[in-house]
Amino acid sequence: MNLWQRVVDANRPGPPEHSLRFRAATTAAVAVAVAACHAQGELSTPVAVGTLVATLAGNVLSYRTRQRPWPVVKPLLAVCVLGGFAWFLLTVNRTATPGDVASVEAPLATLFCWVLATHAFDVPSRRDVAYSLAGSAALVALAAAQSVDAGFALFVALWVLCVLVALVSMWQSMASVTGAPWGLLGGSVATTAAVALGLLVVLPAPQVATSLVFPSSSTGDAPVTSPSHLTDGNPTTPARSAAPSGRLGVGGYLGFARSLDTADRVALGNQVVLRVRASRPGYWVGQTYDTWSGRSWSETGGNGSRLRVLTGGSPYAIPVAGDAQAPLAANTTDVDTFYLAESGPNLVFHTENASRVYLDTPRLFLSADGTIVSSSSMAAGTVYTVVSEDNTATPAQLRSASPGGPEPVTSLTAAQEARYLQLPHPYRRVSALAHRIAGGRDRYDAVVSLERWMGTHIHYSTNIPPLPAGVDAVDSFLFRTRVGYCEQISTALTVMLRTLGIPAREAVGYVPGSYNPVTDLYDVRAKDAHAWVQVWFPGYGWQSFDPTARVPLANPSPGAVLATGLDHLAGRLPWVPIGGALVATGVVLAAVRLARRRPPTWAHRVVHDLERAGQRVLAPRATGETLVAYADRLAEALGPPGAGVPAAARSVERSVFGGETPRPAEVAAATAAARSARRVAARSARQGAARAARQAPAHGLSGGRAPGPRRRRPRRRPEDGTA
Amino acid sequence: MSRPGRRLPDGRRMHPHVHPQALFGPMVGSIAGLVAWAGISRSSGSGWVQTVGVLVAAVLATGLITPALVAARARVWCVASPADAVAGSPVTVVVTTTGPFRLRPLSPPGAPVTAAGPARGGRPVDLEVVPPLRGVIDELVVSVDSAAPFGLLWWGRHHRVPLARPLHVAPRASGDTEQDTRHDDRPGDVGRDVPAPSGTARSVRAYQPGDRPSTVHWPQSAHVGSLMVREAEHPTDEPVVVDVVLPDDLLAAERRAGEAMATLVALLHRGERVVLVTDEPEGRITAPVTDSVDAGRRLARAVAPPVGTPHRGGP
Repeated sequence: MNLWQRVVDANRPGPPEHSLRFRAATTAAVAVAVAACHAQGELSTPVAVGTLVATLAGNVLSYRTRQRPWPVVKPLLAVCVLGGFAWFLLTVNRTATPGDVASVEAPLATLFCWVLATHAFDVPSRRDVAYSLAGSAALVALAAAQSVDAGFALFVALWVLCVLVALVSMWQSMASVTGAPWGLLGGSVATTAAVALGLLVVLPAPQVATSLVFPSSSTGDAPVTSPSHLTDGNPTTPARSAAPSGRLGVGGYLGFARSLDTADRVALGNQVVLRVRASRPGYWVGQTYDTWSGRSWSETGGNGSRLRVLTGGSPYAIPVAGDAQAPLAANTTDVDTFYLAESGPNLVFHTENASRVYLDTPRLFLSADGTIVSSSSMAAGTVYTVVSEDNTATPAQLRSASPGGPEPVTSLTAAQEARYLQLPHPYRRVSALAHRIAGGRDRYDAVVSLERWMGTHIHYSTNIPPLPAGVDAVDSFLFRTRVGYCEQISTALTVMLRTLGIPAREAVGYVPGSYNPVTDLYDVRAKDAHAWVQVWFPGYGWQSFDPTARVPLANPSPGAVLATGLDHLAGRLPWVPIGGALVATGVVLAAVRLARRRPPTWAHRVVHDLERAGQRVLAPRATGETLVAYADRLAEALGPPGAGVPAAARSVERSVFGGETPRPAEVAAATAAARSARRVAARSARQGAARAARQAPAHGLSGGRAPGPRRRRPRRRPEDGTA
Repeated sequence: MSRPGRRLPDGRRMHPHVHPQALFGPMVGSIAGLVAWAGISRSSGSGWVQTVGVLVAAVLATGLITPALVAARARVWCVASPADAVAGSPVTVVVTTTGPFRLRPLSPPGAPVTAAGPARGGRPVDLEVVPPLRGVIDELVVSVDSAAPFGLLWWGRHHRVPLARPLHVAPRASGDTEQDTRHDDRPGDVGRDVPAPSGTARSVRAYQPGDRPSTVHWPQSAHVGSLMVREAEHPTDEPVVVDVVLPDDLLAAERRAGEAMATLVALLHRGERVVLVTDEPEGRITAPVTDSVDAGRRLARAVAPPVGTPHRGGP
């Protein structure tokens, strides 16, 4: 057989598929896949609805014509599919960006839908239906590629359910099976779940290839005309900053504004404000402050007058500020993609020392301290990518860069030094404390020793006492309350460093939230807003120090994250309802088991009752002993109350072995006699036990088992039937 | 060199353990799909792609492996089988399986049958097999396949199913001979009762002492008023002796057995007394045959004479 013949044989249509459930489950899988694509914005509503309607209609038609498919359908569908491909090529040629896979995804999803919808009109055989099932998998993959939140799990769960039902139905159809082997199915589903979980734990999280073109979108693109409106919370412009009234919009953190009042008490929310796909976790800085008033931080030139305008479109090249030059640092390129889940300020968060920004906005504004501000509103759904040259230095490098070390290769200008050493008043007590802790040390060791001191003398709490009017926040914090959160702690460190003559500034942004191994994203919540300290080192620029907390430096393995998540989940599970549900399930199962054990016919019931009665007053029925013989012995043991027992046993034997259909009265009599015998036997056994218990002391029995109704050994009947 | 028990009569390999069938397509398709999926997952960086891919991989792995476990536990046994068959003609054997399996008779070959019915429990299956050559068959070789529960891949195991009784496959009579293919419920190795030759009735005569009571002609006795007995004329012709010597070559022996079958059927049809001489595993057998079923059984058991036996010539 040559290759062509093999191909022809392989494409020969199979026998018609008659399983309606298989077809319905497959159609449902396709529908779920289409809905998933629509939810991810890859399909417009008309296309999604049209695909669903066409798929349903096509499957109905295919089912009705499965015995004799219309010959005209196949060539017609071939033309339609070719037309779809032509449309796809033309669309991609017109709209796609070379090398940008993301720009092809929407037309690709539409093409898949078109192919699935047209294919639905020609699925007479089992193999054709299975192709539809595989097509739905491709569509789900396309939707999954765009999903960044856990809500997609609903689509995945639904789709997997449909696929499993479809596969089982396919097997039932091909093996002509009626009913479902629940044990086998349960085992298979459990095995599937275990294998999936194991693979999920073992497989490394996917990483974005560096050659990929970064996503860039600004869904709520509303240009801001004046830079001064960017962070002022002007209600007439879509750009807004964090103001007390804007808690919900920015997750409750008030730091992303022109000023940062450390006396404010915050209640940070738990909602996800943005998701970040990062090369590695780090501090994502939003902006920095250099001017301290004794109560709040502000930025020099924060009214926008000193903002530099960057134009030219995405990607924007970010020039390195003069004080951020780090010629001695071994820069590490970080690529972070930010998916905004909530509307937020116009700040472009990034790892320190951003070099490129991929954001679809008419222009960017860059402040002197490196804060990047978008000219468009940053609404939910905005996606941007920032490439940063992280210049984090090692402790040894920082020690060598401190004054007293080799000749510094860079230095701050007098104006810059004045900005970053600015203090509203001399801070004598604070200065004395700082000198006592870190006096005489080099710059790095001074920072570390102050951090260490704070770690032993400060208590973390967001419930800070109110700051009285006219009181310096740092002075109060260090010498009175010593309770605070990141803002107070970092501010105190900054001020102490400045009293030592070390240039420092306040930075605010986000720390990585919880890492989601399923989405490969860091879910950054409002409560992850953070403030920390940046200290300037000659040759290494601004280096971050976090006196409040440490963040993990390595990408956690999915397995560890899952284990931690499961641990947290177990701790937060509502065990009372779960226990109640388990008890209810146990009760239901026990009831089902009891119902199954209930004798199905009157004859079984009679036999059951007689045997239970015999077990109490005689012994279990011996192997080979007929029911009638057993009943005779039982009647003898029971006396007059057991008079009806032999007749009941004979009724059963006539019915079961003689093929006679007993009269209802006879059935009722047999059932009543057997039940009565069981009751009498139970009563007799109880009375016997009580009597034995009463007689036990008289017999001098001090322990052991009380003599109950004596159980005779089953009498072995002679083989020859003789007594 | 493989052992004979590991081979089917047609030379195919016997698989006493579960093995996949048509593995190439599902396996290559699954691997290619998952590799493509991994590529998409890698390039997109989306954990959901990987999650869905992992689920698909788990479903595929379960669907591809589980049938092996199900097929390994499958059981099949014969509950009814005929004693006679004719080479090339279908014969039905009733077997029972422990679940909804696909049964493929391998030796003798036959059409695959699906053991339809509920998902659990045994069920009888009519297995139609077509013995290609004459002979005595003691067992069937059946492949019991399963694709449960997802239908992605068939796994099967070859079972030797002992028949309820030996199946004697008579050779197909050559030419246009009308061959009796009826089945006989008696065991195949029990000889058919051959009635003693009673001769042809010639006349009646008066009873003489010593005549057997069975020879009394009661109607004539009633007519005459005294006992009359039938007087038979015993045939004087000798029975036709058919000596079948089969060659060693399988197909040539089959052809010659077919010719012998045609001859025997023709002789029996004419009412001739036939004595068949064959070489059987127990030795040389000379015995009369009374009908085509009997002849078929004898020829089914017939083998080539042992090496060194003098040539007796053809039938």
